[in-house]
Amino acid sequence: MGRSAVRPLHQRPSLILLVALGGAFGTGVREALALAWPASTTGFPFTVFVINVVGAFALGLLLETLTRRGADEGGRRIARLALGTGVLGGFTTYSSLATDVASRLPHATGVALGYAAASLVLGALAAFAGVAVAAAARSAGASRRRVPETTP
Amino acid sequence: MTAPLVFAAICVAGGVGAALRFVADGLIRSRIALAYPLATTIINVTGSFGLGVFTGLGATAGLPHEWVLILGGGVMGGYTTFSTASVETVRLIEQRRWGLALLNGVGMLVLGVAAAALGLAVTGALRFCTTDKSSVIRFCVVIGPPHGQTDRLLEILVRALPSGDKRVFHAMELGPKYRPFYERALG
Repeated sequence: MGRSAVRPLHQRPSLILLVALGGAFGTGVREALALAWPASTTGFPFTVFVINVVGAFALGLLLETLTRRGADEGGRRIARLALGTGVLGGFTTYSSLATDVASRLPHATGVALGYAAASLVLGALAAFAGVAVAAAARSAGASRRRVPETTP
Repeated sequence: MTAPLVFAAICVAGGVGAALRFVADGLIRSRIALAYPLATTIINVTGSFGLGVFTGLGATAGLPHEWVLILGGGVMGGYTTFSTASVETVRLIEQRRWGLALLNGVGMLVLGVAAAALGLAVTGALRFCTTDKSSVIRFCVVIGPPHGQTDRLLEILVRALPSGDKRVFHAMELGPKYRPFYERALG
């Protein structure tokens, strides 16, 4: 008990398994979408692009929501590791982005540079939007709950 | 392997990749304390190299397509993460660490693309474009072994059509015209 409490998270087999289960699910959804709508070898990889932008929004939303609810422990920690590190980490992919840009650079340079720039800018904007939505939802919820306290 | 089995293997591989990322991230963070999220950069750059290698092995060394999907899309896809990289860039912007935010965004992508290109190159999947002086057609020359157990090299001329399709209009043993390109590319 005492040992487990001080053991770093990444050394606990139960948490590693939790991340693996989430990662398997996220990877399955990504590959199913990527195989259903494959990109041509010189075209814009829309499927992975949308997956990455949606995943960045969802992770921003998730992490900000959890942080605002309290410390990283108990159910919040399990949600962060299973849904964030596992599902959304497995759902989004950086290696596919890098390899698709590298393989397109020589003969589809415009597509490669456009894909790289759009992923960077929209990925950051989506993550920012996710954080902002979580912050707005939290303060709206907090002000609703405060109403009875201020009413005499 | 049947399609459902390949898909199940991709999912398991993605789980293994995600677990590797979790452990690697924890190990790096516990040893190196920086304002810059170095762990994600190391994970994404090494994973990009890995996908480049598996994609290249599929193209030149006969690694079966399902294994490219399992090792590349599964393990490397689950190991690397775009969502964490994006959120960490936003956190750096919130802290007004502009230089680090730029490094985490543009710097990581440049390193990742370079690593993926290196992975493609070391497996012999060399691709480069040239404009032949005798024609106005822009085409790609792919030079590499037809399979993994030979020193023979083939030259394949491919034209990328505006529709996104590719047309192969020349494939033969590597000749003197393109050998200098190959030797120069290998350094």
